Amino acid sequence: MNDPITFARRNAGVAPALAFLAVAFFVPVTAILVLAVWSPGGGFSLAALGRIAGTPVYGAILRRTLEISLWTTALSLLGGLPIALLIHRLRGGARTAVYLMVLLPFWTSFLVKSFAWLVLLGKNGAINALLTALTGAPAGGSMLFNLGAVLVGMVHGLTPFAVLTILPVLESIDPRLLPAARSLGARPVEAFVRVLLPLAVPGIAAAGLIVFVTSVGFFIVPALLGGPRQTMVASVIIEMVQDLLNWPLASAAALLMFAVVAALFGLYVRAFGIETLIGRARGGRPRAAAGGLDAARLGWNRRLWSAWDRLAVPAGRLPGVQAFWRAGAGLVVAGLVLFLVLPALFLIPVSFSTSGIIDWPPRLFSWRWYAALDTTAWRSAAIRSATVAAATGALSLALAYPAAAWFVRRARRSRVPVLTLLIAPMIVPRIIVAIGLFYLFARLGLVGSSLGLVLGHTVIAFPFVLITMIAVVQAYDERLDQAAAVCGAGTALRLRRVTLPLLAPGALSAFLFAFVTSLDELTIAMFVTGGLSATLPKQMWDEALLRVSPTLAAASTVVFLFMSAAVVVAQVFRGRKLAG
Amino acid sequence: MQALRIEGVSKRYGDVVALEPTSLTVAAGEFLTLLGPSGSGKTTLLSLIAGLAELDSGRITLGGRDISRAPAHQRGLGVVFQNYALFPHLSVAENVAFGLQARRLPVAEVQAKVRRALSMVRLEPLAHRVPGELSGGQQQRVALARALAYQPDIVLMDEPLGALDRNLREEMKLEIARLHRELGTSVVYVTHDQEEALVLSDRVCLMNHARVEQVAPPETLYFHPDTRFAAEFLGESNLLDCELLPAAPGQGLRVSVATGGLQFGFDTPRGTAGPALLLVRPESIGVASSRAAAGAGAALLSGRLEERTFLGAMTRLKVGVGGATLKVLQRTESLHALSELAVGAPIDLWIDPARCHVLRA
Repeated sequence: MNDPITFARRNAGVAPALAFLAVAFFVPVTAILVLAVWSPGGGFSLAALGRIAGTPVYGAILRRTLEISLWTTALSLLGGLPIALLIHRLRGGARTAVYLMVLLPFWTSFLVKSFAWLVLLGKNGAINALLTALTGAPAGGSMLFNLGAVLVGMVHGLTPFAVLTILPVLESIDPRLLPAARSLGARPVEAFVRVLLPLAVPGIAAAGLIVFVTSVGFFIVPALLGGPRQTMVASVIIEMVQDLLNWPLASAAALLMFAVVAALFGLYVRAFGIETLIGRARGGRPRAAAGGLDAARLGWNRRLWSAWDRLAVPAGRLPGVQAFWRAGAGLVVAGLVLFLVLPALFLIPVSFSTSGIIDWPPRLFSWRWYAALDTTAWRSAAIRSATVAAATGALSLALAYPAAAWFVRRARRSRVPVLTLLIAPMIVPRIIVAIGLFYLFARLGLVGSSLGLVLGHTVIAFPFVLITMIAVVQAYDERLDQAAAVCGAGTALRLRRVTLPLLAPGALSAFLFAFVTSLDELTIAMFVTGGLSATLPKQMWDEALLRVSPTLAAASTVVFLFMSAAVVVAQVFRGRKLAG
Repeated sequence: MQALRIEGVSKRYGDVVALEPTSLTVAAGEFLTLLGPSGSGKTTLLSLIAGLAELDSGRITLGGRDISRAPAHQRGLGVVFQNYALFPHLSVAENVAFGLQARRLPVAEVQAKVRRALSMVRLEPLAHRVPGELSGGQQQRVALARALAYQPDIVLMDEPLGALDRNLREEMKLEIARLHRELGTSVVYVTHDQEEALVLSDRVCLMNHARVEQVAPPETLYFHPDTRFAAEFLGESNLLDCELLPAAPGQGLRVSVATGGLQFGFDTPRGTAGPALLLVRPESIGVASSRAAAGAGAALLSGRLEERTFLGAMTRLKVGVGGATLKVLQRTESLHALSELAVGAPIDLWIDPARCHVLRA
C-alpha cells in the first residue's frame, strides 16, 4: 500500500468508474444540494429552506409525497413478497413463466404502464365496461385523478422491483434450513416465520429502500393518474426549475428529499450492511448482545406459538379449511401476478381503434394511429433514443466491467466505502440527479446534446450494470484463464476462446439492462433535451400532456413489443450462460 | 426407546428409481449405518424416514406407530444434516433451543435442556455466538446438540463428518460414539466412508443401486460378505472364481480354485455345489518366511513378486501366481527376512482355508 505504483496498478480498474461518477454524479448532486443554502451570488442563506418550511402548500406536498411513498412501499412489499416466494418455490417451466410475467412489467416503461391505467380506469375504460357488463348498471364515473389511481399505478410499477430485489436473497438461503426446522418439530407456519422470514428480512428491507427511493422522486404516475391533490415533490421541483427558474427553492426541496432518503439508507446500512444491497447477503450476522435464552424472550415465544397451537392448528383440522386456505392463497398470488402482467396488454387493442378517444371496448380495426407515428418528430425521437441507449449500454459496460473485476479480485479494506460510492446513484432519487445534471450542463453547454443524455443515463444505469457484472465476474473461474495459459494459449487466443465466450452472455444482459433503462428514462430527458432533440419517452410525455390519444397506445405498443423481445433475448442468453 | 421398522418402502423420482422396495429394522438403542457409494439410495432412505420426502409405497413405523405419512414435524426424530443446516440468524443456544421451543416446553425446562445439551458437546462457552463465527467442528457439535436436545428416540445423521478435515473427523467419530453410548438413543447414520461405518456401527446396512446388499454387524460384513459387491466395497480383497464340488458323501464340499494358472483347493463344511467366489483378504495370505505358522490344511502357492509398496507399519505386495495377481498385506516387521527380495524374484505364499470365505458367484 505504501508503494504508489503498486497502489495505482492494483486499483486501476475502479478508477475510471469513480472518475466518471465524480464528474457526472457527485459534483452535480453536491452542487445542487449546496445551492439550497449557498449560492455564488448570495452566499450562505437559509431563506429557501425557510420558505419551503413556511409555505403551507409546500409542507402539504412534502407530507403527501412521504405518505404516498410509504403506502407505495408497504403495498409493493406486501404484493411482491408472495410473488417472490412463489417463484422461489416453483421449478422448471412454471418458474420461468412466472419469472417472465414479473420481468415483462419490470422492463415495461413507466409511461406505458401509466397509459395502460388510463385505458383501464377511465370513465369509458375497461374496468367500467366490465362492471357494466356484469351488473347491467350504467357505468360510474372516472376512477382516475385520485389517490387510489396514483397508488394503483405506483404499486403496479414498483412491485416488480420489489420481487426482483427479494428473490435473490430468498435464493441465497440454504434450502435445507426449512426441512431442518421441520425435523426439529416446527409446524410449517412456525418454520416459515422463525427461519425463512428473518433470513429474508435484508432482501425485504432492500426492496423497501429501493421502492421508497424511487417513489419519493416520482412524477410520471402522479402527474398522469393523479389530481392536483396528488402533486408530489418531484413535480414541484420540475415546475420550480422549468417555469419559475427558482433554483434555490428547487434545491431546498431536493435537499429535504435527499435528507429523508439518506437517513433511511443510513439505517439500512447500519442494520444489514451495504453488500446485501447488491444481493450478497452476509452469512449470519454477529450479534454480540442478542442470542441468549433469557426467560422473557423464551416465554414470549412460547405464549405466541402456544396460542397458535390453540387457535390456528385446530382450525386447520376442520374439514375444508386447509383446502380453502391453499386455494385462497393460490388465487391471491395468481391475482397479484395477473395484476402485474395484464394492464399493459390492454394498450394493444386500443392502438388499433378507429376512434380518436380512448374507450373500451375499442372500435376496431385501423392502422391510423401507427400511421400517425410516421412523422419526423417520432422518427427522430426513436433514432435518438436508440443511439443514446446503445451508447449508454456501451459506456456503462466499459466502466462497470473493470470496476466489477476490481471489486471481486482486488478490493481490500476499501471495498465497502468504494462500493457505497459506486452504487450511490441507485439510492439518490432520479429527480435530484436530473436537476443536478441540468444545472451543470447548462454551464457546459451540454443541454440538448446526445452526450449529455448518455452521461446522465449512464449514471442511472451504472449501479445495476455493476451489480450484474459483479455476479458475472464472480461466476467466472479465473483458473480457466490460467489453465488456457498453461496449455500455451497467448493473451489474444485466451481472450477470444475462453474469457469472452464465458463473460459475453452476462455482459450482454448487463448491456441490455442499460439499453432499456436509457430507452425508458424520462426524468433526465425532461431537463436535458429540448423540443427537437426529444427522446422517445420525452416525445410520448409531451404528447400525453397535449392530449391522450390512441397514438400513445400505438407508440406504447411498439415500445412494449420491443422491450418484450429484449427481455426474451436477455433471458435466452442468461439461460445459455447457466447451461454452460 | 422404540424400534424403527421399515417395510417395503420405495421411492422414484420420475424415471429414476431412488430406492427399490426396502425393509429394515432398527432396534431400540442400535447404531445402524447406511453405507454405500453415492447414488446407492442411502440418503433417499434417510429422507423417507425423516419425512423430508414422500414414500411411494410401504410403511414406516416407530414403536408400532405408523409414521409413513406423518409430516416431518410430527415424527419426533432428530436429524443431523450434511453441512449442518444451522440457522445462521440464531445463536448457538437458540439453535439448540429450537426443537425444545417447537415442543412448547416450559421456559425453565428449555433453558436447562439447552445447557445440558451444550455441556454434552462441550460448547457452553460459545452459547452466544452465531454459527458463522464457529469452526467446522464446532458447528458439527451444535448440530449434534440441536438434534439431541429434545431426546428423540432416533437420531438420523446424513454424512455428518463429510465436511470436516481428517483429524477432526477422527475426533468427532469418537465423540459420536461416546454420545451414542451415553444416551442410548438409536442412530441411523449415512456415510460412504467404510471406516466410519466399521468403527461406529452395531450393524451396517450396505446399499448399492438403490437397494440393500447386506445388513450385518461390521465383522460379519467384513469377513463373511454375501455378495461380490459387499466383498469388494469393504476393505481390500482378492476374489477368486472357484467351483464347489461334492466331496466324499456326508463330508461337505471341496473348493476348487482354478483362475488362469492359479490352482489350489481345500474342503469346506458348508455351501451348495456350483460356481462360487472365494474371498481371501490380503492380510490373510501368509508369505513363505512365516510358513511355520501355517496350519495343516494351508494351500501353498509359488509366484513372483510384482510390486511392493511400503505403507509404514504395513507393506503391500502384489504377487503374480499363474496368470492371476494376488494382493498381500503384511506387517512390515514380519517381512524383515525378505527385505532384500527384488521385484521379479520368486516368492511363496500360503492361504489358510479357515481364513477364507466362500460366497455365491
